[in-house]
Amino acid sequence: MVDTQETTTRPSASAITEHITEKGYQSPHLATSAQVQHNLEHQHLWTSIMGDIIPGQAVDSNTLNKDPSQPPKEPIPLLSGYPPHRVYTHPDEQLYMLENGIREDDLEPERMFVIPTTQGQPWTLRHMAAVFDRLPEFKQKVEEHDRFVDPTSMQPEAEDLDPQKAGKLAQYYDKKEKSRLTKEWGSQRVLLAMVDKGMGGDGTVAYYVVHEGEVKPRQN
Amino acid sequence: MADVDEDAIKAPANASTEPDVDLSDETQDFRFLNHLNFFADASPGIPRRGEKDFEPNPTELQADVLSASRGAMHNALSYPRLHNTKTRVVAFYAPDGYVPPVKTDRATPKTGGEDEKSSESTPKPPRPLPNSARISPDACVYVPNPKGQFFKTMGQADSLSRVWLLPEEALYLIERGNGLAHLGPPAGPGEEDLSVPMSLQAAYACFMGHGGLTLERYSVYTGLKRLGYALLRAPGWCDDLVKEDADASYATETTPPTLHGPGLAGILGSLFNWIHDPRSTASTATGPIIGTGIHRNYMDIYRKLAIIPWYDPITAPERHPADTTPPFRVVFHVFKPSTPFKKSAPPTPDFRVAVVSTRDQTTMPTMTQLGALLESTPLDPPARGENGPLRHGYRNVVMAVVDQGVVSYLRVADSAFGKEKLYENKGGPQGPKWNRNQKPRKR
Amino acid sequence: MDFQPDLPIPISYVSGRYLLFSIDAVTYLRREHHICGVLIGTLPQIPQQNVFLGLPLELMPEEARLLVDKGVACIVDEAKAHEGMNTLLEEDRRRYLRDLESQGLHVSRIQSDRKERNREQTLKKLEEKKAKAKAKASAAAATAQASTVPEEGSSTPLPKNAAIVDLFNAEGRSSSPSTGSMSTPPQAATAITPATSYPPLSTPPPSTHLSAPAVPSSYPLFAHLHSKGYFLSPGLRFGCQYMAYPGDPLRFHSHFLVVSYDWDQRIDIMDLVVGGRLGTGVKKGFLIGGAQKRIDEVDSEADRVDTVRAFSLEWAGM
Repeated sequence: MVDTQETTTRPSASAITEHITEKGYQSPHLATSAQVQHNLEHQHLWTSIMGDIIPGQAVDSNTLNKDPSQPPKEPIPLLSGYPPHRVYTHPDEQLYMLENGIREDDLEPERMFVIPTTQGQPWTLRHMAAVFDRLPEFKQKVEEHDRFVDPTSMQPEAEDLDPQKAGKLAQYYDKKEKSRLTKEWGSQRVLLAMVDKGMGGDGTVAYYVVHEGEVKPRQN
Repeated sequence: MADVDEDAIKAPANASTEPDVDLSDETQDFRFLNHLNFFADASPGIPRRGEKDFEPNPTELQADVLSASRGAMHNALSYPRLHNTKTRVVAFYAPDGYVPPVKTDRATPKTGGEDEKSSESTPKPPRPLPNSARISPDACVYVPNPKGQFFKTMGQADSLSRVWLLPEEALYLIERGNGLAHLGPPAGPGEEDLSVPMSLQAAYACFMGHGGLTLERYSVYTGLKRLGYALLRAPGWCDDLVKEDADASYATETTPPTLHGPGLAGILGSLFNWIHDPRSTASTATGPIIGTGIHRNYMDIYRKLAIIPWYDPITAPERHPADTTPPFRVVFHVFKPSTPFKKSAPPTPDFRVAVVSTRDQTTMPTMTQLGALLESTPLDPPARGENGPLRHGYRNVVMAVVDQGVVSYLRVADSAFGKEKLYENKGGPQGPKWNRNQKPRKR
Repeated sequence: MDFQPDLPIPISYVSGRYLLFSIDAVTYLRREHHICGVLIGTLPQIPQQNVFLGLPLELMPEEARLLVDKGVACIVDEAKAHEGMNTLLEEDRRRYLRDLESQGLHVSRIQSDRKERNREQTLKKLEEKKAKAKAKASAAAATAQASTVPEEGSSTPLPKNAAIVDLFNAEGRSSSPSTGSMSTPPQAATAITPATSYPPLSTPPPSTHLSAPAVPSSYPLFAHLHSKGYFLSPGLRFGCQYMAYPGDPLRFHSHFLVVSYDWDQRIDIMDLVVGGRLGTGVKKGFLIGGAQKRIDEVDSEADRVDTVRAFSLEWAGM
């Protein structure tokens, strides 16, 4: 938005637009994904962002309807990365942390998963289910990657902790692992990112936590 | 974008909800009714809102409280509908409706003081029975001895001074414990009275569905009656309403409305403006919109910039209710408790209400349906100097949306944005000041 | 002491809606089956308000359907059943009228007793006041004794109300309470509008029951949430289809605003944002879901319920 004096010149494109044009993404979904990635990286300061794609079903609509567990026609891009702070803590987990004197800063960072979407894009329960069905696979992939990049990153920093705290933390991780199966502290979750691209859209990205199944809301 | 306004959404949740809670929004804890003395003569106040928990826990305390709440609810709902001998209003169910008495015996004029005093002195006409003419064909319950406040706003008397009630009126009286209705006619002299009083269930079974009464309409009717409003059926009550040519009050309004363009007044107005300011170039096709003349104030400029035609509700003709599509049609005329109400000559309604059932109508009204609904109501322009003329609008209607017994009221008004020219406001342009993030505070 | 009504409980089908008139049925279904419905009637004891409402209870078709499918309830065409009123035998009419009258007498007695006692209490209080004024200086002990009386007075009305309420709790169980004093009526009987018509009508035979209620396409999600222990109510107030409560809405706030979609029904992403934001604003989650299978792909609605998948949304706060 520099040159307003000469009416003939158009304002120069934004960095993200340039980025998308440069890469020449084939599908609009991927362009959306790039935009969300950009937003995560530069506005929310996420790190180690990785992407994945759930391939679409290149079949006719008849067979699509037959099997509800099949993913939809369109490919769905996924993103994953480390936010600088925890984005979500289940109310019961929060209570546990409070009771055991565990602060968020004591915990190792947690990978979050993101579905980039945009206004007007086709979306159904089938899409949502496909994302959650694919999530374990993607998770495994990124965890392998994380181990490869930094083998120690998965361990909590044990050096400068007093033994009592370390014990509490160990208990916490234990409990966390168990709750993954019992779903006590919530089920699989992703962030739904929606880019405002509609008429007059300003590129704002809204983020919503989506849980699989019924997960009680936070109360704060 | 975790900025200020988003945080603001969460923060005021506690603060702002407190003063303005609609108690009927949520299921209330019936334990609070225990504190009321049901038999007290003074009308009891409404109990305070109770605290609720976030989620069940295995404590016994919680279980006890819940069981106490359920017990209280059980007791409150078990409370019977009683009729003391003194205040009892006895009614009779007549499923076939009002049948005018056979006028074989002209010699015995019914001298009951049933209506306005006038007719007694003038013996010439064969008694047109002014009141019974107002008895709706849907009326199906009559009260031989009407007494009490309710009949000020309900029912219509026949020549025998019996008040005939519409099904919703009768049901309301029975339900609130003020009317005792008998199935079947009263016993004749010397007969054994074996007519059984109607249970609440019988009353619903008999009256619901009678004469166009739906449960949704009834929910709206009683909900407003309980708050003290008076209600009358509007002409649009019948779904298969047809336009009667003879209907004088709507005779003139048959021309289709022009929904687009400024209307005649608007055209005249712009013509006038054009004459008023001859220096301007009328054609915008070649030159700048505001012309090349000298402009001494912003008003002229804004006026010229207003090139988009707008809808003027004043120019739209009033339409017959038959032009509307049910359920987007006014079925109740509603009068505030403070409005002086006379059954024989009802005043102008304070509200016009359309009733929509969410299970029968699952989509929003179209613009055509909404437009017709609004235009079936009379012009009700905002008063001069009114604070929010846009909010008040030029026509308005209340939509009562009923979702399985839960009623939400929405007021729809025909706002004339084109008529509220911001640039004509006193104090001139106030852009930057007005756009500050603090909103003008309402009282 | 919790009352068990005879099953199946008849649900009144009146003008296309499903209603309950028996307080015992209402309490039982709430307690045992987590079915709350919506009270739509006026409470006769406080008729001029909309905060506490009374019988009848309106059930959503989903609720009625669930109960019928469970074998807990059946649907009765109430208008048709009430045609039986016209054909009641004279004997039955007489007996019914007699029962009503004896109940009415009982109520009248309770009320007049109570009035009497109130008057006595007021008199007593007056006397005590006088006595107090007289012996103001002398006896401190007397004041202490007197002060217990008003307390007693304020607590007695409840049991007395309870007596009348109990009488009607009895509904069909005990036919006529305390008919012994019928011979000497102290005053005219209070007339009563009973809540239900059973008796004098007898329970409609199964052959007359209507078929299970037709339900909207959101039924599988409704039944799924219900099977997980949620209490559900209509959701218009929050712009959704159902509100889901983790326990009885009498005591708990709702957790979810619920909207159902068909498996391949297009969802506007903006609606997810709107619902998620609205929910978060009122400390609730926004829950969407639906059955994977259409009704033409399975044998019964119940089979669809097992294929439901649901997702909860909250604003992420970033």
